[in-house]
Amino acid sequence: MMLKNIKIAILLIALFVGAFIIFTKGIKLGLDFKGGTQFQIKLQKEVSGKEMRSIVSIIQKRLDWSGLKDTKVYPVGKQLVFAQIAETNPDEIEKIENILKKQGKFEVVLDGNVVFTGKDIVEIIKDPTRGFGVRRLENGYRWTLPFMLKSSAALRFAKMSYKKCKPVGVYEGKVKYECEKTFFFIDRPVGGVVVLSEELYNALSTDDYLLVYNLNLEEVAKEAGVSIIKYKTKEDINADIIKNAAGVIVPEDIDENILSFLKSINKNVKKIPYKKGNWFFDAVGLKTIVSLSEDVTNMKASCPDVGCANFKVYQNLVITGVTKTKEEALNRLNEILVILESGSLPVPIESISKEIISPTLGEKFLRIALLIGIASIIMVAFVLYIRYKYGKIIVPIIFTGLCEVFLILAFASLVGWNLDLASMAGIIAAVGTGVDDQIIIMDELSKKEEEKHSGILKKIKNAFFIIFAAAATTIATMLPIIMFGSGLSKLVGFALTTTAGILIGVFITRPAFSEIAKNIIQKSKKVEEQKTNKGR
Amino acid sequence: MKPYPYLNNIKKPFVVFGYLFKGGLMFYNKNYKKLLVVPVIIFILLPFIALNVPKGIEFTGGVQITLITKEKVNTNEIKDIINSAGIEKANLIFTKGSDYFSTIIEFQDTRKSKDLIKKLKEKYPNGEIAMREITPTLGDYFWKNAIFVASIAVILIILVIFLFFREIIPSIAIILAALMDVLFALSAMSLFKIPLSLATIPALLMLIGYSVDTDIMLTTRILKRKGDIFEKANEALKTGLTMTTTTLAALFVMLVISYFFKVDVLFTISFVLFSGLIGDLFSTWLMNAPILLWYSEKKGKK
Repeated sequence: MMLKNIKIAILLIALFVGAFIIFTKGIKLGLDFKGGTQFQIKLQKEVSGKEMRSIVSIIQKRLDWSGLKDTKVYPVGKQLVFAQIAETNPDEIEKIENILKKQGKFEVVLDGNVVFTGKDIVEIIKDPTRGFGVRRLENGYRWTLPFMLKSSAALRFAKMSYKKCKPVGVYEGKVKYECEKTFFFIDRPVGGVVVLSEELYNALSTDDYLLVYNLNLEEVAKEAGVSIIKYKTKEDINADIIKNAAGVIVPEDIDENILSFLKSINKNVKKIPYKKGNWFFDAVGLKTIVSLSEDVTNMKASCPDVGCANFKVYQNLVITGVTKTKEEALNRLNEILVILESGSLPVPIESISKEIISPTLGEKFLRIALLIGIASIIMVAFVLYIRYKYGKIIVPIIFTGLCEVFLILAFASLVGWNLDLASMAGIIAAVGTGVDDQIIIMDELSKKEEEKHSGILKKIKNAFFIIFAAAATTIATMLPIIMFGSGLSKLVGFALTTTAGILIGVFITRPAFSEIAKNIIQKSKKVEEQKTNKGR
Repeated sequence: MKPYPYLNNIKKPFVVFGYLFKGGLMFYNKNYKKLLVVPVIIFILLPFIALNVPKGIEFTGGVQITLITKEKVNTNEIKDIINSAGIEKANLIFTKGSDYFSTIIEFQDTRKSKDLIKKLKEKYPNGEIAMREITPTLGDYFWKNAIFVASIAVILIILVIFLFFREIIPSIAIILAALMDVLFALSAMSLFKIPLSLATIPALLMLIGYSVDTDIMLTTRILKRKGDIFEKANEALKTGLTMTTTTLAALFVMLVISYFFKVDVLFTISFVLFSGLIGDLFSTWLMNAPILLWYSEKKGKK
């Protein structure tokens, strides 16, 4: 008598706790139902726990910056990061992908040497009164990003830029200088080689964006640390140079034959798309070119060090650039801003793949999933009725099944899982085996008493041997997915819900069901006995 | 036995099944060994079919864009749009649901997807579009991971079954049965051109779980209960058919609804499970049971 109450009591307690959890925490719906985009970011190599935490935080910052609410970034194993956002517009998605894709190494180069990097920047000044923002010019737009350098970096910058200007004349009583230029890069492909057709080379060399700085392609290449190969035919390309390069950079419309030729020599070939502006700049990650000024280069100082007369170290500097349209200017500004604020990733990103679900489609999925659930229950009840022709047992079986679903959802809510289609499949799997188990219990209990001393308790034990063995096997199938299937996140959700469902079933719902079934069968036997007794 | 009136006009197989289901027919008798012919044939034939199962987009990489419209789309119009987006080779799958039409476009060049979506939205402003993009490197990585995980799962299953039964032959019989179920499912996928994908792998694993349910029930009843082995086997058959039929019924519902509403993931999962469970009927009752009866008889003689 005691045992019967405990099992049912456990079920009731579990149901109450479950209801409480769902009521307070709610059920989180995954991408399939809510709609949005999920980026699957693959890093170039496996990273340590510490590096991964830093990577997740950087990616989270980059997403947060774009102003999206409801973003979620989580690592999957040692090499993948998943990022979910509630955005479906392809243009926005592409912008975000571009930001996420960058490793984010920010470098400022002067005369082929790195003067300072993103790490040296202490503060980004976003105050429009101090110059931040986009301003209209006569022929275009200027974007400006003021920032503050670490004092050590500022000193190094002052020393490296010392007197890097040439006087070129006098104008209205003042000396006019022409100064060296600083090149601002994000993810500079040092050691790489840019392969261009001769036509493209010529086109780029005479492009406005380049001419305005009074430079040629070779000079830019030198600052970027890359070499250029221009070709008329495949034979012009020097295979050795390609082989020894850190990477090969080509335009996105490069001839297929040349492309496969290059890929056969060097695995690391990157296609850079055409955007507004000079393609070569995009190819080497060059964001802007800023001429030094006479103040910064300390033209009037006596020597390049602290303590020298007239030697000033400037910590507050600006990055600035000119574009043809306002949109370009804003994009440029934002791009650098995000990279500088979020920091650079310790490991570059190898590839990003994405899944887009538009919200209306998502809602439909949910309704259909519910429809399937209800229809399945009806079908199962129908089959059970044909088999057992005993209505009274069907209700407990269905009720137990529903309890299992309810408890699994409560568990998911507690743990904070996002329910998606795959985890719904897991729930179906668990409940399916649940119905199987209940059938097993039913059949064991309703057997005739063949052996002596085989009371009803033994029958229940027999039934549960089968149930435990089957449960253990299914969990054995799911465990490897949970432990090792880090790259298969959809599967992990499925495996977790199935395992949770089975454990809930084996320890909570099915024992309770066996009590209910026992009760019903004992009652029905009594009724039958009474009938035969009356008949006598 | 009273014949069930509502079964009178249905073909014989259903009547037999009905009797088996309700336990009226003695399926297992001394001629049980003849049943083994069927599984042998299956194990010879099916591997050839199963190996041709197509690999889904997650493993080869590419883009899949699904366009759902109220009106039927003109094949040539779609082809024109695809060409104008600069896509040379694309897989086109047209399906019809209860009140909508769906067009699935699969192709390799992921860069072209944005353009294609824009053009599709222009041409079909009332349509709904879903997109899945997988780069090949990720596909490769998934495939290797998937195989590794599946291997570990198989090893664990073998360990667990051996732990519970501690007798080799029954354990092997259960594993063979699970294997046949998977073969059945893969063959069905291969025949109906359902590709192996991220959704199908959990389905195959679920299948192993369901398959093992009936096999373990059968093995426990025959080995660990007292009584005439044929009687035990027939009782087990009754229970097992109930188990499998309820699941098949639920899966059938899922299959039909997900097909009509074009919920790809649920359709694939239910298809794999459904065909695998049909296979389970063969593997459990035409292979595992005869093996166990044979084993029991041999043990009894000692």
